[in-house]
This record gives sequence, C-alpha cells and structure tokens, in this order.
Amino acid sequence: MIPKALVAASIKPFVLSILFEGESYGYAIIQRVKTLTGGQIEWTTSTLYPVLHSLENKGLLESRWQASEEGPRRKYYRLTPKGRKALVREKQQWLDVHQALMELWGPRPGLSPT
Amino acid sequence: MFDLDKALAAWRRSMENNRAFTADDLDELEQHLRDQIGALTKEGRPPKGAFDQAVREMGDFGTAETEYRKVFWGKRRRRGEVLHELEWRLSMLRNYLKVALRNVGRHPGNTVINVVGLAVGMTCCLLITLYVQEELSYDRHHPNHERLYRVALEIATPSATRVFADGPPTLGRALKEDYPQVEEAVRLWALRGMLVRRGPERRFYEDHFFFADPSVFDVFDLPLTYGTAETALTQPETVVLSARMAAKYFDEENPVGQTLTIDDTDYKVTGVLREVHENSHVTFDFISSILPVEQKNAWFENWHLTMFHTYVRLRRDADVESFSAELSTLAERYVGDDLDRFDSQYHYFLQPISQVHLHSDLRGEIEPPGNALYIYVFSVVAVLILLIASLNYINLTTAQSATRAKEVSVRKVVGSGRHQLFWQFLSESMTIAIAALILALALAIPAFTWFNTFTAYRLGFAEIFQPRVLIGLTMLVLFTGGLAGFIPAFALSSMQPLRVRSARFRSSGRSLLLRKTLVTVQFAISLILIVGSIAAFRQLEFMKQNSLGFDEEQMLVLPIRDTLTSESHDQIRAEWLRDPAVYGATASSFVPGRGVDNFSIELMGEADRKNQSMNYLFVDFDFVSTYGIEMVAGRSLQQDVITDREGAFLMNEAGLRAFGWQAPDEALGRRVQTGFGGRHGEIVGVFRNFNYRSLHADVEPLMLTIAPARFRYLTLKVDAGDLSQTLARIERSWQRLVPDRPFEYFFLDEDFDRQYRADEKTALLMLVFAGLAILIACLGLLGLAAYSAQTYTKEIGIRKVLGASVGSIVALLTRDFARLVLLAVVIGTPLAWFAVNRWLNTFAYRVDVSVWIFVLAGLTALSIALLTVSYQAVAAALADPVKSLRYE
Repeated sequence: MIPKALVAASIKPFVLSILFEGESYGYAIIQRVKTLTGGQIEWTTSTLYPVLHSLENKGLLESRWQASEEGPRRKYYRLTPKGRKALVREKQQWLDVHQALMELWGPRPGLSPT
Repeated sequence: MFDLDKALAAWRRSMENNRAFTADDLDELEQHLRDQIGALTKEGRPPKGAFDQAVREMGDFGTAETEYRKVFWGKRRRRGEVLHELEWRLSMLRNYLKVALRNVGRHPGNTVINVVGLAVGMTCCLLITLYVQEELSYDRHHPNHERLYRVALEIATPSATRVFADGPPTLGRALKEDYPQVEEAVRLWALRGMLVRRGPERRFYEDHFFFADPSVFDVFDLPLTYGTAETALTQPETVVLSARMAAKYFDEENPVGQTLTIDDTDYKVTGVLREVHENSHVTFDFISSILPVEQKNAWFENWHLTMFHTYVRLRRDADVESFSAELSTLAERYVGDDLDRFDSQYHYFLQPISQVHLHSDLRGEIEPPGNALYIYVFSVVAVLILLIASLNYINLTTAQSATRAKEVSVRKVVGSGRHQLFWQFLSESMTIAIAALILALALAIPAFTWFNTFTAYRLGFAEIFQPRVLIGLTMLVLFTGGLAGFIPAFALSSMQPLRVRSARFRSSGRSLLLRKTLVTVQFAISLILIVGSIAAFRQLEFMKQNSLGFDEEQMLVLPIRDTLTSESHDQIRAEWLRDPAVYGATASSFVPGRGVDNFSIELMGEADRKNQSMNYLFVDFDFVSTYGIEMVAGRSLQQDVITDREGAFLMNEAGLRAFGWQAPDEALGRRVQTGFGGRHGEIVGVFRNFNYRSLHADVEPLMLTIAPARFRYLTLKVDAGDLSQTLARIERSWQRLVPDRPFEYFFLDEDFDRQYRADEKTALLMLVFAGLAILIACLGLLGLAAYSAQTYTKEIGIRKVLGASVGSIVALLTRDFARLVLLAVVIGTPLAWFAVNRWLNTFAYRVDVSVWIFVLAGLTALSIALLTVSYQAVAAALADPVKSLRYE
C-alpha cells in the first residue's frame, strides 16, 4: 500500500503525464493509474475531480464537453501549453529526487525487497 | 426491478442543493458513476450491487464536499460568476438575519435573560476598563514625561526608616547645579488651608496653593490662557490661577492685573492656566513664585527639612541608573558631618512621574495616592465577569437550541447545508450580542454616574467613543457572539436529521460536568462576596458604635487654622461659654481623627536616655474635661499652676508601656525633654487611652501639653436640643468678632467616621460585586436548569401519567441544583472565612466572624438558587404530559 502523502504528492504529475498522451476524462484517468501501478493507487472521485478543477482554474488544463449516448455529457480534459511547461518542471523535480535516492540506494545489499 | 436511471436521479438530487457542486460537476460525477457501473456489470455484477459499490467507491460525501469547496471560488472566477455568488450570499445573509430576529422574538423571556446577562457583564467590563485606563494615564500628558522624575528621600535613623515624598529646599538647586544630567529642576511647596479673599463676599480656604520655581511651566504641562509663562512668576507677590479659581473669584472676566488677598498679603494675578488635566498627582490652583520667599528665609539653606517636592527632567542622553547611584550620596557631600552626628543616612532616589500616582504612598504626598492593587483586582474582576457572562450565555444558548432540533432536521431535509445552518446560528448569537452591546451602552450612562458620585471620579460617557475602546467593543461582540454561536451551531449543524426525532440532542457528559463546575464556582464566589459584604458592614457598624474613650457626641468643631490669634479665640470662647446651650469650649492643635504632631522625647537625668518618637496633642487647660477623658493617675493640667503653661505633660497608658513602666504612678514626676522647641518639664498625670486615630490602628503613645500658638481647632460641647438655634448664635458671634474669616464647622463624630470612607467604599463595592456575582451565577443556573428540564421532559411526562404530583417533580428537578449550591457553600465557606479574617486583621479593633454570617450567606445563596431553578422546574412540572409523550 502506498502511503497517503505520497499518493497525494503524485496526483499532479500523474494527471499531467496521462493528459500529455492525449485528452481524457476522469474515469479513464483513474483506471489508467490503477493499471499503471498494478492496483496500488486507486483514486476516489473526491480526490481526482477537485484536482482536475483546480488545475483547470490555474490554466494548466482546458476542458470540453462531449455528448454521450447514455446519461449526461462527458467532460474531456487536455493539457494547455502552460500545463506542458508545468509537466516539464514537475518531471525534473521528480527525477532529481529519484536520482538522489538512487545514488543512496545504488548497489547496496540488504535493501532489496524480499 | 432495479431502475438504474431512477437510482442515479435520486443520488443526484441528494447533492443538487449543495452549492459546493455545480450542475457541471454533477454531470461529470454521474458520467463517472455510469462508467464504473458499466465496468462492474461487465464483470457480471447485478445492476443494484454494481450501483451500490460504485457509489461506495466514490468516497464519503463529507470529504467530497470539503474537497470541492476548496476549488469553489476558483471555478466561480473562471466562469465570471463571482458577483452573482456574492449577491446570492448577501441574500442568504438577509435571510439568516430575518430568521434570527424571528427566533429572538419568539422566545422573549430567553432573549431578555441572554441580553441582560451579557449586557451587565459588558457594562462592568467597560466601566472597569475606562477606570483602569484613567488611573494608568496619570501624569503621562506632561511633555517628555518619560524623562520626568520626582526626587524622594529615605531617612534612616537607628530607630526607624522613613520615606518622604518631599525633601529640603536646597535639593532642587543642588541637583541643577551639580549634575549635568539634570536638564531642569523645579521645587514645589504645597500649602493647604490658605485664606483667599476678594471683596467682602468671596472668601474661602483653598487647598491647592503652591510656591514654585518659575521653571514649573517648563517642567509640567501648564499652558496659560492669559499671561505669559516666561514672565508670570518673575515678580514677588504675583500669582497664577487655575481656570476654575479664575471663575470662582473673577467670574468670566480676565483677572490678569487684578488683586487677590491671600493670607493677608495682596497678590497680583499674572496668569490663568488653561483647563487643567485632572489626572495628575498635582492639582495646581494657585502658583506663586518661590524665589521671594527664599530670599526672606534663612531656613532655605537647611538640608534637614522635608517640605519641598522636587522634580527633575533628565537630559535625553542621561543614564538613569548611574544618576540614581550618584544621587543616593548627595546629602553626604553637603551635610555629611550632620548625618554622622545624628547617626542617620539620607538616600535620595528617583520616582518616574507616571508611577507616582499608583505606586507611591510616602509621607507627605501632595494628594492621596491611587492604589495599584485596585487596578489589578479590578482588571481580573472585569475579565472574570466578562468570561463568566459569556460562558453562561453559551450555556443558555446551547440548552435552548436543543428545542430547535426539529427545525434543524426540517432544514436539512429540504437541503440546507452545514454551512448554512452554521451561519444561521452564528447570526442569531451575533444579533443577541449586538443587542447586548446596545443595552450595555445604555446601562453605562447610569453606571458611570453612580461610579462618579461614589468614587469622586470623573469618567465621561464620551470616553467610550475613542477608537481604542470602540475596537475593543467590536472585538468583544465578535468574541462573545462568535463563541456563543459557534458551539451550538457546530453541535446542531452536524446532527443527523434521521436521528433527531428518536435520540434527543444531548451534550456529552463532559460538557455537563463543565457546566456544573461553572455554576458551583460562581456560587462559591457569590458566597464569599456575600460573607465579605456582611462582615464589612458589621465591622463598619462596630467602628462607628464603638466607644472611642472620649465624648464624641454633640461636639462642634470649628477649624480656626492658624489665622486667629490666641487672644481673639480666648475672647470668642468666653463669649460662647455664656450661652446656656454651650457646656464647654476648648482649643487644641488637632481633634481626634485629624492627626497629631510628632516630635522626639527623652527622659532627663537617666543613664539610658531612651530617645524615641512621640505623638503630641497641644491642648488648652480645659481639653481633658471638655472631652471627658478619664485620668488614671496624677492630676490634669491646671490653669492656676504657672509651670503647667510651659512645662507640664500628660501621658496616656500606651506611653507607659513605651517607657517600660508598669504602673501609672511610675510616670509621675519624671522629667522629659522634647524635640518640640526643646520644651522640657514634668509628667504630672496619666490618662486612659482614647482613640485619636481610626480603629484600624492600636492606640499609640500620646502626650498632651499646652501650646496656644499651635491651636488650630476650637471644640464646643453643645446641647442636643434646638441645634440650629445654637449654631445660628455661635455663627453670629463669630461674624461679629472675626468678620474677615469664613465660618466653618463640623461635628466630631461625623468627621471621625470620615476615616472609614475608604472602608465604606470597599464594603459597598463588595456588595455591588456580590449582587453582580449572584445575578451572573443565577443566569448560569438558569441555563443549567433549562437544559435539565429539556432532558427530563419525557421522564416528567411518564411520572405525571403515573400519578406524580407537581411538588414531587419540582423537588426532583431542584434537588440536583440544591446539591450544587451546597457544594459551593462547602467550598466557599473556608475561603470566605480566610479572606474575611485577613481583611479584619487589618483593624486593631475588630468584630468576630460568627457562624451565623455563613449560615445567612449560605441560605441566601441557596434560596436565590432555588427560586431561579423553580422558574424552570415549575413550568416543566406543569407541562401537559400528553404533549411531551406524544411522539413515543
């Protein structure tokens, strides 16, 4: 199980990265993350949607509505140029942290998961 | 058959009214649910199971609401709906207020209790705040007051250490000349009882006369309306008046250049002060130059007098600590030889001028000082009263809001959100708090008037309208209203509508315990104050009734000051004694309650001369007989014994102990030497102790001797019948024989009791606080009773159905409270006993604290408490059980 704090911290890079692949909607994003992490991270709606809305408020995302056969409309999100820049920044930060941790963990016996 | 569309519509409706979610949000969420349900049915779940699981997996509603609210304003901004949103909120606010006012109006009784309770607390707080602020503002208006100091003097002799507010005439000059740190210095010589005359009809004794250095205008804040400060005091026999004295003697005209007669000398008026600041420890009514007096009197070179209040203004760069150190040895440099000879030490020290009023109670203060202790006590009391009043208000509101559980449920069912309910309750408590503030301001007017007459203080109602106070008041309303609204708002708005009807809204046991503790503490405090008031009034009564050891009834006293020659008062006394209604007439330096003189005394011809300090009363031959003082040994002073005129002394019994004599006879014939002009002579008699000071203190040693030059009071023993006629005759002969002196008189017993005025104030204040404490405690109790009547509604209904009488139900409801009050009595009694005894121990003559005071106070507290509770209990007991049990 991945701790809450780490889940919360990774929402933004996850969302930005998934939308970098192409436009998508909430349910699909949750499913994609679930598959990617092998079911380790499964967001609830109250986690994801407010984040999407807040990123939209900040201008990192934009959205459009598309009618669907059953039920109400579906809302699709995609990255804006500003969102793209944010993703580059975000990626660099995660890689920096990753790099540092890797250096510490390197070829060190006793640290591999059993 | 499960209908997915219907189920989804129902789910959607439950969220539609919550403003955290927009229609778009709900579209998005519904589409999400449909996706999830679709995926689950594909896995083979039945539609209903899939729906339930999907809704469950969305997470709980509370979290969703909170999370969505975080992005609420951003969304509005993005859509350009901020104004619309604000408009909507404003209309909700109007609605809150409307409902609040309706609710307030629906329960007038509760509203009155709430508003009055809070308002009384606020008024007290307001009054005390302004009083404390006024007291703390003393002498802060002088220019550069932070560099302004008074120089006080500590005189240490082998037998005693005395601290004086005033010092020698030489000090001011020495300070200015010897110390570069001193920028300016001024000496004040305060004189009381100056006879001031203008024309035949205006003649008064005045108390605020000062001889001062001309620098007085530079050091103190004394702007002039007429005249100029630089020249006002350069000439001899000139005087500057305060605005009120100018009005008193010259009406509205400009008095500069006019003449006033002060103690038989004509003074030319050279200036008038602008309206003086009342909050200063010096009140200037007359200022005359000290320089001409200095030139005429050689004793201005004397370092051993304490007559002059000396003030210095230090330079900005002066180091106060090092200056203080230099100052303490000042006297040694000038009169070190004298000090060695007297085996004494003089230490001068600085008192910051803003500290003089509250923190200095030395010998020779110009005005009676304020009491810093009162400031602390009052501040604590103000905070306590406000806190308790607020807590009671919270208690009452919480208890009353339990009745509104149904309203809250209905609101919730029709879609009211927590926030809306929260604001609803908050606006109600704010309405009450604001109403309380308005009432508090209205109450402040009579409260200020009462306070001003009672304390001779001058708090103005207008002082409320200074920014600092207004901000404080706003904070107060926000604090009390907010706190009082917050708790019930929080408790009620989080209630589940479904559970309201079955399970009653209840506070936790802990908060009930808190309420009970609060009520108990309040009653314990009330008890202490009731006991304190009773004891204080008994002590006062005791002091006024207690025999003082001399005749105090029908003693008419006429202050003659030092303006009458001894021949003229001999003559006037002889005239009065011819009056059949006058039984006796004598003269003395002081009368009991007005003080005594103090000089040294030593026994002559003894190896150990036992130099000690002694109180003296200078009297005439007939003093002992007129005052009815009992002689225990020897004889009284006699007119026909020539040596009695200069060299005979009477001593009281306390004096015997001071010299270590066992029997009165041992004193007779001893020769003494006094510090009063070197007068010496023989002790010819010993008299029984009488109280020449208040009963606060034991009788100190006292000597009587004759010195007509020091007589300042005439005492007449008059007949009680037809006093006004007698007084009129006395006044007529006064007018004839001393036409240029005002006729003043007072009765000895009333004047003596004036010494207890501070004690009377303490007692009255305690009574007022006791009343307030009881009032506030009752409000707390009322809240608790209302709450418990709520809780027991059903029990009472069932009991009544089963045949319980009204009386038994009232008893049931009041029993708990009686127990609380009894607990308060148990806690309060030892505390009260301790406090009262401590206070009474400040009196040398005191009453005993008897048990009945505690019984009476306990019964008072108990009966007031029961009366309060029964207001609720009787109502609950009389309620129709059909109503309370209807819903079971």
